[in-house]
Amino acid sequence: MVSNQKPANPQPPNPLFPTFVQFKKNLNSPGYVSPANCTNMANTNWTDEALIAGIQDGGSAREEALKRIYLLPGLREAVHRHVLENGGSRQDAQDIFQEALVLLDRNVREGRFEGRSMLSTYFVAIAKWRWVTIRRQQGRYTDLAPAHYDAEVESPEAETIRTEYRELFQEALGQIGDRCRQLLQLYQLDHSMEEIAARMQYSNADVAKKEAYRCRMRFRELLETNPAFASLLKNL
Amino acid sequence: MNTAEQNFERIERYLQGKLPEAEARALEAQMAADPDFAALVQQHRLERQGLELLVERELLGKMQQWDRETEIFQQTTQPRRGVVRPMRWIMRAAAILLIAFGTYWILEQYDPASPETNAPITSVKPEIKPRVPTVRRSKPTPPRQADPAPGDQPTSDYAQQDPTPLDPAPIEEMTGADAPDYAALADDFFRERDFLPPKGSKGGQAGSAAYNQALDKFQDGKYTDALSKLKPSPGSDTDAIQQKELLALSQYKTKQYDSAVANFRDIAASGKQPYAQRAEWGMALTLLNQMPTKKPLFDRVMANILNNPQHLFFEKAKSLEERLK
Repeated sequence: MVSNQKPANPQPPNPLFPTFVQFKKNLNSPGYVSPANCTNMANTNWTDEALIAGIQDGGSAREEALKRIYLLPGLREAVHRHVLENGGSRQDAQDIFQEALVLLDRNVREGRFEGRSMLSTYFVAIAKWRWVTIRRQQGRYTDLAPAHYDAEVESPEAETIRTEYRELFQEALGQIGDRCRQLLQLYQLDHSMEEIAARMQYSNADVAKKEAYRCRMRFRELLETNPAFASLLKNL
Repeated sequence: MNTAEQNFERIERYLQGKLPEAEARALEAQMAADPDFAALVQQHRLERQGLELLVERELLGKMQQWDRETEIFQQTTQPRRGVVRPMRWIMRAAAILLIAFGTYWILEQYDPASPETNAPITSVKPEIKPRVPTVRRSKPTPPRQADPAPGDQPTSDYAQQDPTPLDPAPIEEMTGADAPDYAALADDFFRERDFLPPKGSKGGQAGSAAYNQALDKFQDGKYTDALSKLKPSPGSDTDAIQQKELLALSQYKTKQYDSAVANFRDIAASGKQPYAQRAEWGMALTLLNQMPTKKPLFDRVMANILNNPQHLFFEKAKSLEERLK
C-alpha cells in the first residue's frame, strides 16, 4: 500500500525542492492543466496511488500517468537546479530528468517502489542518485556519499541497463525487425496477448503468443551468436 | 505448446512476479538443484533487461513529444547559445537607432530662423521606400563531396547516391544575425553518450589495445591524441566499424568535417546496426556544422532518419528539425 503520510520531521519549505504538500497542491490544482491536455483523462484526481496504479496498468493509463509526472510543475526545476548546482550542464540536467522518469517507470512497474516516500520525492531522489552515479563514472564527485540524498526517501537506486550490455542489446534489437520490436515492446509492458493481437492485427491471442515466442527466440539467437554476450553470461 | 515454450512461459511469469507462490518456490528449488536451469533463468533476466531498451526508447520519444506539445522545455531553460538571443538585441539596437535618426531628422527640419517655423508642422514624414529583399544565387561551383573510401561497397542510400553533382541550394542573403548558429546547434545536439559508453565501463574497452588507448584519449578530451592512435581500417567487421566510428568522432571534434562525413558514410553504408544509425546521426551533426554549404546532403540525411520512426535518433532528429524551423 502506498502511504502518503508526512515525514516524521517535516522540513521547512524549501524553494529548491518543494515539499510533497507543494507538489500535491500543484498536482491537483484547478489551475494546473496539462498543456497537451488532460481533458481526456478520466482520472482528474491524480494522487500518488492513482499515478502508481496508472503506470502499473500499462497502456494509455501508464502514458497519462507518466505524462502527468513529467509535466508536474516544480519537478523538472528541482532536478535541473540540482544538476546545474553540482557541475552539470543544461543538457545534462534534461537528460537526468528524462532518465529519472525512465527509471521511475521501471521501478514502479516492477513493484520496486514500496510507497514509503512520496512519488515526487522519490523521483527527485532517483535523479540525484543517477547524477552522482554518472559523476562517479566520470571520475568526479567521489566525495558524495549516498547520505547526500534525502535520508527519508526509500532507496532511490534504480536498476539501469548495464552499459556493457546496452551495446549488445542494441545490436541484436537492430536486427530483429520492426514488427518484432513492436511486439516485444508491448510484451515487455505487460500487455495481454489479446491486446497485442488486436494492436498488431494477429488473428487471435494464440497467434500473438507464438509470434512473441518466435521474436524472443530470434533475439536470444542474435545475442548468443555474439561472443561478447557469451563471455558476459559466463561472468555472471 | 511444447515443453520449451512451457518452460519459457514459466520462467517469464516467475520473473514478472506472476507465478503462484508454490510454483515460484518449486522453480527456485529447481534453480538451486540445477545450475544449468539457474543459468537459463539468469539469461532470461538479462534478456528482459535488454527488452527494456525498447520501453526506454519509446518513453524517451514520448517525452520529446510532450516537450514539443507544451514547450515547457523552452520556458524552463535558457535560450540556446547564439541562436535566439542575439536577434533580440539586434532588434533593440535597430529600434534605438531608428528613434535617434528620426529625432535628428525632425530637428534638422526645424529651423528657428525660417519664417515657416511658425507654421504648423505638417507633412514632415520622409518618404520611406519599402526595402526589397535580395536573393543572391551562388555560382554553380562543383559541390565538395567527400570521396568514398577505397573498396567501399555501396549498400545504403548514401552509397547509392547519384554521383552527379548536386545543384547548390540558393543561399539567401542574410546578415550574420539572421543565420542560425549551426555550430552551436550541432554542439547542443552532440552527446558523447549517444556514441560511446561512459568512461570506465567494460563495454567501452572491448576493442584492440590501440582502440582502447584512443578511446581513453577521446574521453579525456584529447582528440588529436586519439586521432594519432587510430588508423583507417578497411574491414567491415565490428572491430573495424567501431574503430572507424571513433575515428570519425575524433575528426568531428577536431573539425575535420569532410573526413568525418566520409567515415560516417562508410559506416552507414555497412548497414551494421546500431553503428549505421549512429553514423547517420553523426553525419547529420557534422553536416550541420558545414551549413549552409552542405544543405542538400544534410537534408537528405535528415530525411532518411525522419522517414524511419524506429530509427534510434528519430526523436532527436525531429527535435533538431523543430529547432531549425
